[in-house]
Amino acid sequence: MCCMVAGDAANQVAQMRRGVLPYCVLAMLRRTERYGFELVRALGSVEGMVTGEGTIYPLLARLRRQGLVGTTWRESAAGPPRRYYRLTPAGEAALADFTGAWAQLRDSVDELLSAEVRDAP
Amino acid sequence: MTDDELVAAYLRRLRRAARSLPRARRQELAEEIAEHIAQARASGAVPGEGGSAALRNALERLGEPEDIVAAAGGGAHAGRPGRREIGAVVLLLFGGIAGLVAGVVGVIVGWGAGVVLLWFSPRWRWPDKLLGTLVWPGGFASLFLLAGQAASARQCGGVSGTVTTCSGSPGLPLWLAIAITVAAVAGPVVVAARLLRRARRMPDPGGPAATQLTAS
Repeated sequence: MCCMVAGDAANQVAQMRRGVLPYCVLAMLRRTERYGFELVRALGSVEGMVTGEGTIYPLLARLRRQGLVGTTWRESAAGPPRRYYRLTPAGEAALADFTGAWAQLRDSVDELLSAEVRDAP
Repeated sequence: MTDDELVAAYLRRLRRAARSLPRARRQELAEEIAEHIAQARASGAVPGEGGSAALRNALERLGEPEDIVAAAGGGAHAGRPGRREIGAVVLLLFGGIAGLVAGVVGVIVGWGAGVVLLWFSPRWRWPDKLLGTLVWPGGFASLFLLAGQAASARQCGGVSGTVTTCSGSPGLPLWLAIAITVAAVAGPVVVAARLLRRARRMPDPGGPAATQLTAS
């Protein structure tokens, strides 16, 4: 957990992915509200983002408890009522914070990684 | 296996894996997953032929029920106190008595081992750890020591025939002595029960203590 071991990059990346996933969920709600199934399917279709769609539901529950997303039940034409998710003002703020920090981190890492390649003999 | 049986088996596995979660969350999770499956069946599946294939695909995309529960903060080992936690509570209560044969040092070592386990366990927060340490230092062994001291303090040093003089403080009223004894015995028992109950609780990653979003 603490140390970098050669060959454990995949594991590290998996952890990073878990770390950014909540913000990806928030980002998907930025423009429009979505209902759970649609949100989960859309996120599940992004290559390499989640290993199992089912694991997104606990994440949504957590975001709900943290007040970053709000939900509304809506009747649907076909089938049972659906739970729609939308971004709350707190969620918008968290997403904006992350977006700035992420852009900076991404640029810095990209720069270091590409410099590494250039410097290599 | 029919489609309905397939779904029922999947949800059964999910509920079994989710036993370690608090009841409300377990229920909520099961409902959401059931709803997801229902919608996948309604939207994707062609009735009749190919229905099962579409359903199997939907379940495969959902992932293993155990992984879903793990993402919710529960897991195979969550929800029951570990060996370390049980060891800590047992030592806090009785470790001192086991060490009693070796005198005060033995009491300190036996009970102290429990305290060390208590403070090293991640399952308890500091107020519980403090409570476990303070009620009572030495566990039941300290009661023995105190009772022994009280008894010796009450020994009267008179020679028969002369005026009896008693050293030490005058005896407590009976009701007070009983009340103190009951409190002294009940204290560690209540605290031990509380510690074991708290050890079941999983640290809540979404609780007020969490300052960052985590998906793990």
